[in-house]
Amino acid sequence: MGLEDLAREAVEGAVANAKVDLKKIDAVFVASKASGSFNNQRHINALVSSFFSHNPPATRIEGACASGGLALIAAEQSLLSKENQTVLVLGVEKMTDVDGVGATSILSTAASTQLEGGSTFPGLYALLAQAHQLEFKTSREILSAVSVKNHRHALTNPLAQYHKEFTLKQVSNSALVADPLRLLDCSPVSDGASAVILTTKNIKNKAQIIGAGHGQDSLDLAHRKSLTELAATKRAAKKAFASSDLTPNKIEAAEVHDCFTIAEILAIEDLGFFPKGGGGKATLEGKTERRSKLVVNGSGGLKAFGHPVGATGVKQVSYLAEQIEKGECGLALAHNVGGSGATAVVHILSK
Amino acid sequence: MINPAKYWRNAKQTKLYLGRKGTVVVVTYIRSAGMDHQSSTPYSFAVVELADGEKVELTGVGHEKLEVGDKIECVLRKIPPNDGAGLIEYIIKAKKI
Repeated sequence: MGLEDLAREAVEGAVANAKVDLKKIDAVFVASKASGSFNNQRHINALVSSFFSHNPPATRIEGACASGGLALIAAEQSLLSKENQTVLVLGVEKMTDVDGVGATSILSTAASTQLEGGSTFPGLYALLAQAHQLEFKTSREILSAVSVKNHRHALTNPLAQYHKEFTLKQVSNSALVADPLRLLDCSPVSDGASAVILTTKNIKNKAQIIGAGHGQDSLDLAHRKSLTELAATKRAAKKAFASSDLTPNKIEAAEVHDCFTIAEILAIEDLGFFPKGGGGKATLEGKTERRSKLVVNGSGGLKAFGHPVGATGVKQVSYLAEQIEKGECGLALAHNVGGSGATAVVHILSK
Repeated sequence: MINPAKYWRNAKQTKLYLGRKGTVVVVTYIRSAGMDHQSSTPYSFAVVELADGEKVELTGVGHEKLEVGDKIECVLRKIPPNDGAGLIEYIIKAKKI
Protein backbone atom coordinates (compact mmCIF):
# COMPACT_ATOMS: atom_id res chain seq x y z
CA MET A 1 0.00 0.00 0.00
CA GLY A 2 1.17 3.49 -0.78
CA LEU A 3 0.94 6.63 1.34
CA GLU A 4 -2.47 7.58 -0.02
CA ASP A 5 -3.87 4.04 0.36
CA LEU A 6 -2.82 3.95 4.01
CA ALA A 7 -4.35 7.36 4.67
CA ARG A 8 -7.59 6.49 2.91
CA GLU A 9 -8.01 3.17 4.76
CA ALA A 10 -7.58 4.86 8.15
CA VAL A 11 -9.99 7.70 7.32
CA GLU A 12 -12.65 5.33 5.98
CA GLY A 13 -12.24 3.06 9.01
CA ALA A 14 -12.63 5.91 11.50
CA VAL A 15 -15.68 7.33 9.72
CA ALA A 16 -17.36 3.89 9.60
CA ASN A 17 -16.55 3.15 13.23
CA ALA A 18 -17.78 6.52 14.46
CA LYS A 19 -20.89 6.39 12.26
CA VAL A 20 -20.42 10.04 11.36
CA ASP A 21 -21.72 11.63 8.20
CA LEU A 22 -18.62 12.61 6.21
CA LYS A 23 -20.08 16.08 5.60
CA LYS A 24 -20.16 16.68 9.37
CA ILE A 25 -16.35 16.76 9.48
CA ASP A 26 -15.60 20.47 9.94
CA ALA A 27 -11.82 20.21 9.61
CA VAL A 28 -9.00 17.73 9.18
CA PHE A 29 -5.61 17.64 10.94
CA VAL A 30 -2.96 15.50 9.29
CA ALA A 31 0.20 14.34 11.08
CA SER A 32 3.17 13.18 9.06
CA LYS A 33 6.80 13.46 9.97
CA ALA A 34 8.38 13.24 6.55
CA SER A 35 6.14 12.24 3.64
CA GLY A 36 8.05 14.78 1.57
CA SER A 37 11.26 12.82 2.13
CA PHE A 38 9.97 9.25 2.37
CA ASN A 39 7.49 9.47 -0.52
CA ASN A 40 8.31 12.74 -2.31
CA GLN A 41 4.79 13.89 -1.47
CA ARG A 42 4.29 17.18 0.35
CA HIS A 43 1.06 19.17 0.71
CA ILE A 44 -0.69 16.15 2.20
CA ASN A 45 -3.27 18.28 3.99
CA ALA A 46 -4.79 18.92 0.55
CA LEU A 47 -4.36 15.28 -0.42
CA VAL A 48 -6.41 14.15 2.59
CA SER A 49 -9.01 16.91 2.25
CA SER A 50 -9.67 15.67 -1.27
CA PHE A 51 -10.95 12.36 0.21
CA PHE A 52 -14.06 14.33 1.21
CA SER A 53 -16.51 15.69 -1.35
CA HIS A 54 -16.91 18.93 0.66
CA ASN A 55 -13.10 19.49 0.90
CA PRO A 56 -12.94 20.47 4.59
CA PRO A 57 -10.13 22.79 5.70
CA ALA A 58 -7.08 20.61 6.39
CA THR A 59 -3.77 21.35 8.08
CA ARG A 60 -0.61 19.26 8.20
CA ILE A 61 1.30 19.22 11.49
CA GLU A 62 4.93 18.14 11.91
CA GLY A 63 6.78 17.66 15.17
CA ALA A 64 8.96 14.64 14.40
CA CYS A 65 7.61 11.45 16.03
CA ALA A 66 5.26 13.61 18.14
CA SER A 67 3.45 14.82 15.01
CA GLY A 68 0.42 12.69 15.89
CA GLY A 69 0.16 14.00 19.43
CA LEU A 70 0.58 17.58 18.23
CA ALA A 71 -2.11 17.15 15.56
CA LEU A 72 -4.48 15.98 18.31
CA ILE A 73 -3.58 19.02 20.42
CA ALA A 74 -4.25 21.36 17.46
CA ALA A 75 -7.56 19.60 16.77
CA GLU A 76 -8.61 19.86 20.41
CA GLN A 77 -7.79 23.56 20.48
CA SER A 78 -9.99 24.11 17.43
CA LEU A 79 -12.83 22.33 19.24
CA LEU A 80 -12.33 24.18 22.53
CA SER A 81 -12.29 27.51 20.69
CA LYS A 82 -15.65 26.47 19.15
CA GLU A 83 -14.24 27.01 15.67
CA ASN A 84 -15.23 23.40 14.94
CA GLN A 85 -17.62 20.82 16.39
CA THR A 86 -16.33 17.63 14.76
CA VAL A 87 -12.86 17.08 13.34
CA LEU A 88 -10.83 14.20 11.99
CA VAL A 89 -7.21 13.65 12.98
CA LEU A 90 -5.11 11.42 10.76
CA GLY A 91 -1.55 10.27 11.29
CA VAL A 92 0.22 8.57 8.41
CA GLU A 93 3.73 7.48 7.50
CA LYS A 94 4.92 5.24 4.68
CA MET A 95 8.55 4.60 5.58
CA THR A 96 9.51 1.62 3.41
CA ASP A 97 9.61 3.53 0.14
CA VAL A 98 13.30 4.12 1.03
CA ASP A 99 15.95 1.64 2.24
CA GLY A 100 17.23 1.36 5.82
CA VAL A 101 20.13 3.79 5.39
CA GLY A 102 17.78 6.26 3.67
CA ALA A 103 15.27 5.95 6.51
CA THR A 104 18.03 6.52 9.10
CA SER A 105 19.08 9.69 7.23
CA ILE A 106 15.53 11.05 7.03
CA LEU A 107 14.79 10.29 10.68
CA SER A 108 18.06 11.88 11.83
CA THR A 109 16.94 15.28 10.52
CA ALA A 110 14.68 15.44 13.59
CA ALA A 111 17.83 15.95 15.68
CA SER A 112 19.68 19.28 15.52
CA THR A 113 21.48 19.13 12.18
CA GLN A 114 23.68 22.02 13.36
CA LEU A 115 24.64 20.69 16.80
CA GLU A 116 24.29 16.92 16.49
CA GLY A 117 25.93 16.11 13.15
CA GLY A 118 26.82 12.44 12.83
CA SER A 119 24.14 11.39 15.32
CA THR A 120 21.46 8.80 14.70
CA PHE A 121 18.36 8.22 16.82
CA PRO A 122 19.64 4.91 18.17
CA GLY A 123 22.85 6.83 18.98
CA LEU A 124 21.08 9.63 20.86
CA TYR A 125 18.95 7.21 22.88
CA ALA A 126 22.09 5.14 23.52
CA LEU A 127 23.55 8.22 25.24
CA LEU A 128 20.39 8.52 27.36
CA ALA A 129 20.63 4.78 28.14
CA GLN A 130 24.23 5.11 29.23
CA ALA A 131 23.45 8.13 31.45
CA HIS A 132 20.67 6.10 33.10
CA GLN A 133 22.97 3.10 33.51
CA LEU A 134 25.69 5.23 35.11
CA GLU A 135 23.31 6.84 37.61
CA PHE A 136 20.92 3.98 38.40
CA LYS A 137 22.84 0.83 37.39
CA THR A 138 20.17 0.10 34.75
CA SER A 139 21.11 -3.37 33.56
CA ARG A 140 21.07 -5.08 30.20
CA GLU A 141 18.36 -7.35 31.61
CA ILE A 142 16.08 -4.37 32.33
CA LEU A 143 16.33 -3.06 28.76
CA SER A 144 15.72 -6.54 27.35
CA ALA A 145 12.72 -7.04 29.65
CA VAL A 146 10.96 -4.05 28.05
CA SER A 147 11.35 -5.56 24.58
CA VAL A 148 10.28 -9.05 25.69
CA LYS A 149 7.16 -7.68 27.42
CA ASN A 150 6.08 -5.50 24.51
CA HIS A 151 6.52 -8.29 21.97
CA ARG A 152 4.46 -10.56 24.24
CA HIS A 153 1.73 -7.91 24.54
CA ALA A 154 1.56 -7.54 20.76
CA LEU A 155 0.55 -11.18 20.34
CA THR A 156 -3.04 -10.24 21.22
CA ASN A 157 -3.13 -7.11 19.04
CA PRO A 158 -4.29 -8.11 15.55
CA LEU A 159 -3.03 -4.81 14.10
CA ALA A 160 0.52 -5.22 15.44
CA GLN A 161 3.42 -5.29 13.00
CA TYR A 162 5.08 -8.21 14.81
CA HIS A 163 3.47 -11.27 16.33
CA LYS A 164 6.68 -12.85 17.51
CA GLU A 165 7.97 -13.52 21.01
CA PHE A 166 11.60 -13.06 21.99
CA THR A 167 13.53 -14.26 25.04
CA LEU A 168 15.70 -12.05 27.23
CA LYS A 169 18.72 -13.86 25.81
CA GLN A 170 17.70 -13.19 22.21
CA VAL A 171 17.29 -9.46 22.88
CA SER A 172 20.54 -9.29 24.85
CA ASN A 173 22.45 -11.07 22.09
CA SER A 174 20.96 -9.20 19.12
CA ALA A 175 23.34 -7.09 17.02
CA LEU A 176 24.69 -3.86 18.49
CA VAL A 177 23.33 -0.79 16.70
CA ALA A 178 24.69 1.96 18.95
CA ASP A 179 26.21 0.68 22.20
CA PRO A 180 24.56 -0.21 24.55
CA LEU A 181 21.44 -0.40 22.35
CA ARG A 182 20.91 -3.49 20.24
CA LEU A 183 18.64 -4.26 17.33
CA LEU A 184 15.85 -5.65 19.53
CA ASP A 185 15.97 -2.52 21.71
CA CYS A 186 14.85 -0.47 18.69
CA SER A 187 11.36 0.10 17.32
CA PRO A 188 11.07 -0.89 13.67
CA VAL A 189 10.66 1.00 10.41
CA SER A 190 6.89 0.84 9.80
CA ASP A 191 4.18 1.75 7.36
CA GLY A 192 0.92 2.75 8.96
CA ALA A 193 -1.91 5.17 9.44
CA SER A 194 -4.43 5.87 12.17
CA ALA A 195 -7.40 8.20 12.31
CA VAL A 196 -9.70 9.37 15.09
CA ILE A 197 -12.75 11.60 15.06
CA LEU A 198 -13.06 14.13 17.86
CA THR A 199 -16.29 15.94 18.62
CA THR A 200 -17.72 18.23 21.27
CA LYS A 201 -21.10 16.55 20.79
CA ASN A 202 -22.18 14.10 23.46
CA ILE A 203 -21.83 10.60 21.99
CA LYS A 204 -22.78 7.51 24.03
CA ASN A 205 -20.36 4.61 24.57
CA LYS A 206 -17.33 6.42 23.19
CA ALA A 207 -14.14 7.31 25.07
CA GLN A 208 -13.48 10.89 26.09
CA ILE A 209 -10.28 12.90 26.17
CA ILE A 210 -10.29 14.45 29.64
CA GLY A 211 -6.77 15.88 29.80
CA ALA A 212 -3.95 16.93 27.53
CA GLY A 213 -0.50 18.46 27.91
CA HIS A 214 2.33 19.47 25.63
CA GLY A 215 5.93 20.07 26.76
CA GLN A 216 9.20 21.07 25.13
CA ASP A 217 12.92 20.92 25.92
CA SER A 218 16.10 21.81 24.01
CA LEU A 219 16.39 20.11 20.62
CA ASP A 220 19.94 18.88 21.25
CA LEU A 221 20.98 16.67 24.16
CA ALA A 222 24.01 18.73 25.17
CA HIS A 223 21.85 21.65 26.34
CA ARG A 224 19.57 19.53 28.54
CA LYS A 225 19.78 19.98 32.31
CA SER A 226 19.65 16.22 32.83
CA LEU A 227 20.20 13.18 30.62
CA THR A 228 18.38 10.82 32.98
CA GLU A 229 14.95 12.33 32.41
CA LEU A 230 12.93 13.90 29.60
CA ALA A 231 11.82 17.26 30.98
CA ALA A 232 9.36 17.67 28.10
CA THR A 233 7.53 14.52 29.26
CA LYS A 234 7.36 15.83 32.84
CA ARG A 235 5.98 19.19 31.62
CA ALA A 236 3.38 17.56 29.36
CA ALA A 237 2.33 15.11 32.11
CA LYS A 238 2.00 17.87 34.69
CA LYS A 239 -0.42 19.77 32.43
CA ALA A 240 -2.36 16.65 31.45
CA PHE A 241 -2.84 15.50 35.04
CA ALA A 242 -3.77 19.03 36.17
CA SER A 243 -6.34 19.45 33.39
CA SER A 244 -7.94 16.09 34.17
CA ASP A 245 -7.67 16.51 37.95
CA LEU A 246 -6.07 13.07 38.21
CA THR A 247 -2.86 11.61 39.61
CA PRO A 248 -0.63 8.97 37.97
CA ASN A 249 -1.74 6.21 40.36
CA LYS A 250 -5.27 6.32 38.88
CA ILE A 251 -4.13 5.30 35.38
CA GLU A 252 -4.84 1.68 34.47
CA ALA A 253 -3.37 1.52 30.95
CA ALA A 254 -0.61 3.59 29.39
CA GLU A 255 0.71 3.66 25.88
CA VAL A 256 4.17 5.19 26.23
CA HIS A 257 6.69 6.18 23.57
CA ASP A 258 9.08 3.18 23.60
CA CYS A 259 10.96 4.05 20.41
CA PHE A 260 13.88 2.39 22.23
CA THR A 261 13.69 0.22 25.35
CA ILE A 262 15.35 2.92 27.50
CA ALA A 263 12.63 5.34 26.39
CA GLU A 264 9.98 3.23 28.16
CA ILE A 265 12.00 3.24 31.39
CA LEU A 266 12.39 7.03 31.16
CA ALA A 267 8.69 7.43 30.34
CA ILE A 268 7.27 5.41 33.23
CA GLU A 269 9.49 7.38 35.62
CA ASP A 270 8.92 10.84 34.11
CA LEU A 271 5.14 10.30 33.90
CA GLY A 272 5.17 9.67 37.66
CA PHE A 273 4.21 5.98 37.62
CA PHE A 274 7.45 4.98 39.37
CA PRO A 275 10.16 6.99 41.17
CA LYS A 276 13.21 8.11 39.18
CA GLY A 277 15.55 5.15 38.97
CA GLY A 278 12.76 2.74 39.90
CA GLY A 279 11.32 2.09 36.44
CA GLY A 280 13.74 -0.70 35.64
CA LYS A 281 13.08 -2.60 38.87
CA ALA A 282 9.32 -2.24 38.38
CA THR A 283 9.63 -3.62 34.86
CA LEU A 284 11.66 -6.62 36.04
CA GLU A 285 9.07 -7.28 38.76
CA GLY A 286 6.31 -7.43 36.13
CA LYS A 287 4.55 -4.29 37.37
CA THR A 288 3.97 -3.07 33.80
CA GLU A 289 2.71 -6.38 32.42
CA ARG A 290 -0.83 -7.09 31.27
CA ARG A 291 -3.07 -7.97 34.25
CA SER A 292 -1.04 -5.75 36.59
CA LYS A 293 -2.51 -2.60 38.17
CA LEU A 294 -0.92 -0.53 35.39
CA VAL A 295 -0.51 -2.06 31.94
CA VAL A 296 2.23 -0.33 29.95
CA ASN A 297 2.12 -0.70 26.19
CA GLY A 298 -0.57 -3.37 26.15
CA SER A 299 -0.72 -2.87 22.38
CA GLY A 300 2.90 -3.97 22.00
CA GLY A 301 4.05 -0.35 21.98
CA LEU A 302 6.18 1.20 19.28
CA LYS A 303 8.50 -1.80 19.62
CA ALA A 304 6.05 -4.45 18.41
CA PHE A 305 2.83 -2.68 17.36
CA GLY A 306 5.09 -0.60 15.12
CA HIS A 307 6.27 2.99 14.78
CA PRO A 308 5.02 4.70 11.60
CA VAL A 309 6.53 7.86 13.01
CA GLY A 310 3.95 10.57 12.21
CA ALA A 311 1.05 8.21 12.91
CA THR A 312 2.17 6.91 16.30
CA GLY A 313 0.59 9.59 18.52
CA VAL A 314 -2.81 9.12 16.87
CA LYS A 315 -2.47 5.33 16.95
CA GLN A 316 -1.86 5.37 20.73
CA VAL A 317 -5.05 7.36 21.40
CA SER A 318 -7.06 5.28 18.94
CA TYR A 319 -5.90 2.03 20.59
CA LEU A 320 -6.69 3.27 24.10
CA ALA A 321 -10.12 4.58 23.07
CA GLU A 322 -10.90 1.12 21.73
CA GLN A 323 -9.75 -0.52 24.99
CA ILE A 324 -11.98 1.81 26.99
CA GLU A 325 -14.95 1.14 24.72
CA LYS A 326 -14.39 -2.62 25.15
CA GLY A 327 -14.38 -2.16 28.94
CA GLU A 328 -10.74 -3.22 29.29
CA CYS A 329 -9.86 -0.13 31.31
CA GLY A 330 -11.44 3.04 32.68
CA LEU A 331 -8.61 5.56 32.72
CA ALA A 332 -5.78 5.53 30.21
CA LEU A 333 -2.80 7.67 29.23
CA ALA A 334 -1.02 8.17 25.90
CA HIS A 335 2.54 9.53 25.80
CA ASN A 336 4.06 10.61 22.49
CA VAL A 337 7.62 11.94 22.09
CA GLY A 338 9.37 13.79 19.28
CA GLY A 339 13.09 13.42 18.60
CA SER A 340 15.28 12.55 21.55
CA GLY A 341 12.74 14.17 23.87
CA ALA A 342 12.51 17.79 22.73
CA THR A 343 8.73 17.48 22.26
CA ALA A 344 6.26 15.47 24.33
CA VAL A 345 2.50 15.20 24.32
CA VAL A 346 0.38 13.46 26.95
CA HIS A 347 -3.32 12.63 26.68
CA ILE A 348 -5.61 11.19 29.33
CA LEU A 349 -8.72 9.29 28.29
CA SER A 350 -11.72 8.02 30.25
CA LYS A 351 -15.06 6.25 29.73
CA MET B 1 24.41 16.68 2.48
CA ILE B 2 26.17 20.04 2.53
CA ASN B 3 26.34 22.84 -0.01
CA PRO B 4 29.07 25.50 -0.33
CA ALA B 5 27.00 28.32 1.22
CA LYS B 6 26.06 26.22 4.24
CA TYR B 7 29.63 25.01 4.61
CA TRP B 8 30.89 28.61 4.55
CA ARG B 9 28.45 29.56 7.34
CA ASN B 10 29.36 26.50 9.44
CA ALA B 11 33.11 26.98 8.94
CA LYS B 12 32.95 30.21 10.95
CA GLN B 13 32.11 28.08 14.00
CA THR B 14 35.08 25.77 13.51
CA LYS B 15 37.72 28.11 14.92
CA LEU B 16 35.65 28.54 18.10
CA TYR B 17 36.26 24.88 18.99
CA LEU B 18 39.56 23.93 17.38
CA GLY B 19 42.13 22.92 20.01
CA ARG B 20 39.76 23.07 22.98
CA LYS B 21 39.98 20.22 25.45
CA GLY B 22 37.27 18.41 27.38
CA THR B 23 36.01 15.23 29.02
CA VAL B 24 33.60 12.61 27.68
CA VAL B 25 30.34 12.66 29.69
CA VAL B 26 28.47 9.90 27.82
CA VAL B 27 29.39 8.11 24.63
CA THR B 28 28.05 5.52 22.20
CA TYR B 29 29.66 3.63 19.36
CA ILE B 30 27.50 4.02 16.25
CA ARG B 31 27.59 0.94 14.04
CA SER B 32 24.86 1.87 11.58
CA ALA B 33 24.35 5.42 10.32
CA GLY B 34 22.63 7.50 7.66
CA MET B 35 23.95 8.17 4.18
CA ASP B 36 26.34 10.99 5.16
CA HIS B 37 28.18 8.88 7.76
CA GLN B 38 27.59 5.23 6.83
CA SER B 39 31.03 4.89 5.23
CA SER B 40 32.64 6.08 8.50
CA THR B 41 31.03 3.45 10.75
CA PRO B 42 31.75 2.36 13.39
CA TYR B 43 32.50 5.64 15.16
CA SER B 44 32.12 7.18 18.59
CA PHE B 45 29.51 9.84 19.28
CA ALA B 46 29.71 11.64 22.59
CA VAL B 47 28.46 14.44 24.77
CA VAL B 48 31.65 16.22 25.81
CA GLU B 49 32.09 18.78 28.57
CA LEU B 50 34.70 21.32 27.52
CA ALA B 51 37.06 22.90 30.07
CA ASP B 52 34.85 25.98 30.52
CA GLY B 53 31.77 23.84 31.21
CA GLU B 54 30.17 24.14 27.76
CA LYS B 55 28.70 20.85 26.56
CA VAL B 56 28.82 19.81 22.92
CA GLU B 57 28.07 16.67 20.91
CA LEU B 58 30.94 15.38 18.78
CA THR B 59 31.87 12.34 16.76
CA GLY B 60 35.18 10.66 17.53
CA VAL B 61 38.02 10.52 15.00
CA GLY B 62 38.19 7.45 12.75
CA HIS B 63 37.02 4.29 14.49
CA GLU B 64 38.48 5.33 17.87
CA LYS B 65 36.33 3.97 20.70
CA LEU B 66 35.96 6.69 23.32
CA GLU B 67 34.92 5.92 26.91
CA VAL B 68 33.27 7.91 29.68
CA GLY B 69 35.87 10.08 31.42
CA ASP B 70 38.31 10.13 28.48
CA LYS B 71 40.12 13.44 27.96
CA ILE B 72 39.74 14.70 24.41
CA GLU B 73 40.90 17.53 22.17
CA CYS B 74 38.78 19.13 19.41
CA VAL B 75 40.55 18.51 16.11
CA LEU B 76 39.74 19.18 12.46
CA ARG B 77 38.94 16.16 10.31
CA LYS B 78 37.86 15.68 6.72
CA ILE B 79 34.65 13.74 6.14
CA PRO B 80 34.17 11.72 2.96
CA PRO B 81 32.47 13.72 0.18
CA ASN B 82 29.11 12.27 -0.78
CA ASP B 83 27.64 14.82 -3.15
CA GLY B 84 28.09 15.49 -6.82
CA ALA B 85 29.74 18.85 -6.11
CA GLY B 86 32.78 17.05 -4.65
CA LEU B 87 32.91 19.49 -1.75
CA ILE B 88 35.45 18.36 0.83
CA GLU B 89 34.01 19.09 4.25
CA TYR B 90 36.05 19.50 7.44
CA ILE B 91 34.35 19.23 10.81
CA ILE B 92 35.37 19.28 14.46
CA LYS B 93 35.82 15.83 15.96
CA ALA B 94 36.94 14.54 19.38
CA LYS B 95 40.37 12.91 19.60
CA LYS B 96 41.50 11.11 22.74
CA ILE B 97 44.59 12.67 24.40
